[in-house]
Amino acid sequence: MKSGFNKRRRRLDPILKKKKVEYIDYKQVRLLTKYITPHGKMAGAKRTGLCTQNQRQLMVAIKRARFLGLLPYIGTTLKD
Amino acid sequence: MENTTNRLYEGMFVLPQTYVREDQDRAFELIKSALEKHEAVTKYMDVWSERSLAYEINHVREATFVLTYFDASPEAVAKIERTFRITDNILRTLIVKPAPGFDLDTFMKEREEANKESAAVEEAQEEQKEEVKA
Repeated sequence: MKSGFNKRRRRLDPILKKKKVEYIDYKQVRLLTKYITPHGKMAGAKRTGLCTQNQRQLMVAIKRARFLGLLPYIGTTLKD
Repeated sequence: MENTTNRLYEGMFVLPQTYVREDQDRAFELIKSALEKHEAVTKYMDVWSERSLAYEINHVREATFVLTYFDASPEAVAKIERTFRITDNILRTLIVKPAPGFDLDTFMKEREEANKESAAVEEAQEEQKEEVKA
């Protein structure tokens, strides 16, 4: 049996349906809302299935959107 | 400081919807004049969206988002942000580098076309309404 570390099985991102996107922007509010929980928390990479780069962009985008009042810090997500 | 090269920035400004609806030109002028004060050259300015905020800011719930693109020196950005922070009727200011690969000319063209299309759609709708009336 092959030994070694267990590769974490990545779930393909259910929303973007692509391995990688060019850039995730804070203006794509409808997309961002899919990556936050009903409480407004960001989803981790395990749940989003995004690559590291995209996950970081997502993090920045959500934080920017929160600052502008596009997304909530806590509480329910806005209807678009 | 004078020797620093200007670069393109993206600015998003959040204003109360009532303020912008009263007089849109006045609202645009408010932003433009503040940018000019710091020798920033405004390349593009338009309403990006009108929507209700996720949370109340300064007792305002409905806001208008104004998207701008301007050329400014990196040193000026902090000053611009400070100016806007103490300006009335500006709820939030976000100045960031545009997304990688962003091209202003293509963006402007796309916006123009989109505006044309929406205008055409509106016209068609109006025509339809008139037809219905007739």
